[in-house]
Amino acid sequence: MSQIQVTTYKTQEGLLHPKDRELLGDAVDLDVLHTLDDPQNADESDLVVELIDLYVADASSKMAAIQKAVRGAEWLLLKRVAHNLEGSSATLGAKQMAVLCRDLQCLDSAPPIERSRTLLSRLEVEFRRVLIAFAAERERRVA
Amino acid sequence: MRILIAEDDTVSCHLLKATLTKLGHEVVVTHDGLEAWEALQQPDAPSMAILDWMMPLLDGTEICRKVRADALTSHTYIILLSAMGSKANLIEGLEAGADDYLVKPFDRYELKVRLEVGGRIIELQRVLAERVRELEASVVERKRAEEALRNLTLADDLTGLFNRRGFFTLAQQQLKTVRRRNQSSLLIYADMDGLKRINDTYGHSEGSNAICRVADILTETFRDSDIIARLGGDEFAILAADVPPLGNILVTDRLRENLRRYNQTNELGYELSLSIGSISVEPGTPSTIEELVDAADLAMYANKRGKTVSPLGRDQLSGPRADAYVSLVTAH
Repeated sequence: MSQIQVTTYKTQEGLLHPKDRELLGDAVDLDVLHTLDDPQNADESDLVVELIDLYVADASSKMAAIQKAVRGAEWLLLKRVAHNLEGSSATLGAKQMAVLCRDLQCLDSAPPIERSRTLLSRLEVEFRRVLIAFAAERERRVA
Repeated sequence: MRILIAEDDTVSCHLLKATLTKLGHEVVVTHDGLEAWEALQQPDAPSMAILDWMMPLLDGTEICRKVRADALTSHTYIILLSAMGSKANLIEGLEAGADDYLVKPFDRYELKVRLEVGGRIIELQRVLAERVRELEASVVERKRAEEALRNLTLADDLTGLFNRRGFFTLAQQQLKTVRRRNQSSLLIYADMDGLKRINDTYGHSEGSNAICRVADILTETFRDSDIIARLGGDEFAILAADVPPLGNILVTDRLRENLRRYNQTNELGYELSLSIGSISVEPGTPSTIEELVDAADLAMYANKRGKTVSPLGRDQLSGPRADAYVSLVTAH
């Protein structure tokens, strides 16, 4: 599975600086990730790491699709992809990401172009925060 | 338990599959609504399905409706999974045919107990279906036993006349007696006309009544010593012993008169009619009772066909009392 996006956001030391961690804030609710841990199967492969890898690969392509849909004013496609990304983001605790996806789905059938672009910009920023947070969590788990 | 999941989101699908596998279930994974619907129609389809609401090609509620409308899949236990958690969504999902509703992101322990609820219902359905199969098998077995018992008896349940078994048993004995005494006898095969029309118009209960009325008329027409039987359906046979060769004319005249009288007085809205074939059995005739019945049946059949072509039949059928028509064909 591709790890390109994950390694892109790794710090030189491999782990986040405390200030970066503070900056990331609530990009990912780690409590949600911890609920996915199964203490009875600690020796098995880490499900959360598998899910993070899947999310990073899948969400990157969905982000590209959302960018293309906003640029091409393809509102139906935008709603479908945003709904999909909202589900996986909420599942892994990327709550703000999920909220922005929902906002995109709530756009009218012909929204003001500025409104959609603003939402897209916020989503892109949030996505970067989420990727960094996931990269750090992944590194912590495999260490 | 085998569980089908339909989820187009990779992350949710992987999490769901991993959770169900850890709980000890066998998972069948599908990634869109159409694939899920096709999998549910397979003979070995899972008895439980967890369906995402929003999916390409067919959404979760559309699958619910299809599943409930199809007798083959209608017992599938469905949990609808959706990020939409409002009461309106819940009602819409359950109305579409879902058995349960779970909001994403789902809680693993909530999923576990909801699966246990579904499992109990599926087990109840299985026990119920097994019980129904047992009852159906028992009904078939009972019918078979009743049929076997009927075949062992000599009397016809409906009319009280002899049945086929009774007729052949007694008639065979009777034939031996009349041959030994060097007497002639008369074998009559009678078939009701228009029973199907009576059934179609007045119902099968009235059809059964009509058969009983014919039985009454035959009993009134023939002697106590004659063997009168309903061979099945609307077919009757009579063996009258010690009847001279031309006695058949007297007997059929009596039968015609009794039918006419009955049709004049009844207020049923239809009239009784019989087609008959008769065989005069001379003392030296070597035929078996089965051969004689077959010959009388053929004579009756020719008579019935002749009703629509013979001048007499046409006249009778075109008249207002056409159903009262009784004709006679004598075969030797």
